[in-house]
Amino acid sequence: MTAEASPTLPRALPTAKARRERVIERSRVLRFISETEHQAIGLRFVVTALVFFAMAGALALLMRLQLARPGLHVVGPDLYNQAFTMHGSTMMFLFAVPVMQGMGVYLVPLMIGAKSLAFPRLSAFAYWTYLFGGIFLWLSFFMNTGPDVGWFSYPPLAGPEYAAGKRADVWAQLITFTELSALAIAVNLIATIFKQRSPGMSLDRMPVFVWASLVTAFMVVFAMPAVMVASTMLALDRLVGTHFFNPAEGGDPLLWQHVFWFFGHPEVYIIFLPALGFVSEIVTTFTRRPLFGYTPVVLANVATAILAFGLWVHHMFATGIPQLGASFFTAASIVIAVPTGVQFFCWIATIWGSGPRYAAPFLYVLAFLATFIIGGLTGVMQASVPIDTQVHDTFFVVAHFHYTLIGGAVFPLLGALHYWFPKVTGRLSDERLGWISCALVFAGFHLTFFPQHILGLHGMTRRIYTYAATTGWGTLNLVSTIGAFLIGAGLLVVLINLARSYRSGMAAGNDPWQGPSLEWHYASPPPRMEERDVAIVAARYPLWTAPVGKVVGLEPREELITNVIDAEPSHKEKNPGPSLSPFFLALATSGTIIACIFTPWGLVWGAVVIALVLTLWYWPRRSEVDEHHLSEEQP
Amino acid sequence: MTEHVLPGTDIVVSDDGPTIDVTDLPRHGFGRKSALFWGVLVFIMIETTALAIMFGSYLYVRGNFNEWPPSERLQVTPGILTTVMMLGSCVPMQLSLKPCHEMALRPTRRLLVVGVALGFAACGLRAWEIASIPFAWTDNAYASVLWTTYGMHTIELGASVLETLVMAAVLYRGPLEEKHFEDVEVTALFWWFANLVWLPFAALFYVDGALR
Repeated sequence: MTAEASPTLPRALPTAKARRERVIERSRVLRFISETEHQAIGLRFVVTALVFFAMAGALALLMRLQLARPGLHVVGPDLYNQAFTMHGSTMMFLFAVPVMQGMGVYLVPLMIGAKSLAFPRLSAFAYWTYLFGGIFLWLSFFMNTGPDVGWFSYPPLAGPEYAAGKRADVWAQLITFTELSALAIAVNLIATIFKQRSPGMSLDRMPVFVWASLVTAFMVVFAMPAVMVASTMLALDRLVGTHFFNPAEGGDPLLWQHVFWFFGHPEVYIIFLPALGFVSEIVTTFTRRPLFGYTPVVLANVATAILAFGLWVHHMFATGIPQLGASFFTAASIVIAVPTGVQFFCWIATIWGSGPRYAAPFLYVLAFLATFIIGGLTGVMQASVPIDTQVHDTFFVVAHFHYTLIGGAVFPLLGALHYWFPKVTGRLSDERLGWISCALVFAGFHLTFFPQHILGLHGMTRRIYTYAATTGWGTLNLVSTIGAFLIGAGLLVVLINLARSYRSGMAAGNDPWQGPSLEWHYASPPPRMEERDVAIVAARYPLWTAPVGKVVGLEPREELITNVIDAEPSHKEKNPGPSLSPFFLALATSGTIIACIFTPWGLVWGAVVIALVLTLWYWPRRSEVDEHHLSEEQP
Repeated sequence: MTEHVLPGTDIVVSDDGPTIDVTDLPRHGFGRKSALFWGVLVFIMIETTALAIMFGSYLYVRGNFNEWPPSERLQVTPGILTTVMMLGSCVPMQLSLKPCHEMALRPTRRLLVVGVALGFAACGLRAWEIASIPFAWTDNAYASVLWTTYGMHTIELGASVLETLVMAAVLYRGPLEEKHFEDVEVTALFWWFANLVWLPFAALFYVDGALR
């Protein structure tokens, strides 16, 4: 190295940097859209997803009103088709996946003692893309262009011959938006969990929720590309006349089903595994015991993820697949119940004789245990081809997957919202309202969905907008509708409780539940990265066993990078901080995706804009250079 | 205040609890040490999965035709030349890793420029290859799968060349931080992916769709 080559700090640095920061500081809007802190992004994901949950829930109530009695005309068949498609698509793509990922974005860095995510700007891009995709879908719906071919959009119904107009294209592009967002978060969580754990937090000391987030992120990586490819094929068939799903030209509608369900089945576990992570955390805290069978629980997560990719064909039993295939996928569909069973027994063993504290989060876990077991058992029933053929496309299936998705994911999520509410807001929620909401949601849920099993066995098919009185389905449908409104009332109580507590709840302190994991070590709400210490841990339950240490010698915007297995310190990296680039990239991406509905040239021109924005994003600015990180050689 | 160092570690235990001083740790890490490396690796997994699904789709629609290939045969010369050029372009990118790890600016950026030049040549050959496809994507499902795969891979190829071009430009313009050398390393990693991932498709398209 020569003397000339030694690093020099650009002279303009303090002024330019200060000027830029002053402009952003002064404008509330700029501050909002340039935010990259993981707590803010995670919270935005969760709140936005809950808004979409409420909107899709309103559509569910509309459908239940329509089906309450035979021959009603609350909505017509066309709006009904849009309603069930919007309900399913919103719940799967705009609520369930983003809310679980949002919880991960908020909690994972706190639980592993990191100051931020590995790629904070990428997480901001993911949020804006998700938000714009959701707005695009719902605006389309309000303009009577909402998708109407079901959340799995089967061709030929969704193909160019049978789905005129742009409704099916709106669905296909919604997929592009949401998958892009989900993949960006998955990459972020994997890199963060691998490289930014606190010193001492070896893999076998990671909280179970962090394990669940890691496994889920890998599932997203391998599952989501399938639906992106499938929806691209569908869009191409519709826009430029390709023949992927056209049997007259060698294409095959079943190709869609294979590729879609190769994503679609793992999707269920992408939603479900983080929820199991919540359950493990809540059970541990409220029984005040180390989780019984930590290793089997973690291995069960991994096993579920692997098996989830081997049973997509059970969604296609009614298409007439070869007998050997049917046998294989029946076996795989039954086997996947085993790892979940292992987790159930571990939770029961942890709770057994522990004298748990029956606070709202734990109540929701009990509601989960009771409900999901039913959904799991009806799942095992449907793994059998003769039963599946009988109940295929009936309300039995509707009942089954609501037992697994609401029972398996929404109940734990509600528990998690109550559990971590004090950490996020610094205030305690009201216990009495927590009990009331849980009772209402639990009773309303079973009243809504249990009768649907019977309706399905009596032959009531899915996606019919009305039925004749002579079918005899009226009474059970009425019961189901009453139940749906009870769920709505319960969720309203949750909202009132959290809103009231946010304004006037009791101060929570750092650790109101005496939880064992690192997030409870930090203040509530958690400090921004500049004021946050990196912890040192020496045990799986650091707050229960040994004093939590701290790392010294980091700059305020520096992150400690540790190695993958043992989390030994390796080096330090700079956190890039707030930026407007992710917002503009999301705008450019959204414009491209929407333009592609109308013309294939949208991709070409969009790619040019995206390349320009990306280059501007990456281009180093003198005002952002950190003197500690300058390279020894400069051009 | 009493202090002692835990045997075999850098952890200092005092009355306030254990501490580790990381002041002297380096400010960069290459390969699996780097968070960025893992991020790019996962992105590569995503894109490989997407292309693998196209591979599977090709085999799936293949079963629907009595005669194969159902369209006119592909010309293999442009494809083979493109593939050879793509493989050749990996050489300077691989060579750039040594100076990159030593943080030697000048040789690193020179090799990137050579890589970009070869990359542009590969893109030109790819344009010729695409122009020589003797059927339209609207002909049949085989044509649709083949054209879409070409489209997806050409986007990967173009993206890797443009990314490397921007990287090289940054190395000429500055200001440079140590992390820029980590970026060079993952740029080379992505380059390897974008070019090597074509090999199974080359075997599939050129052998099964043209020479068979």
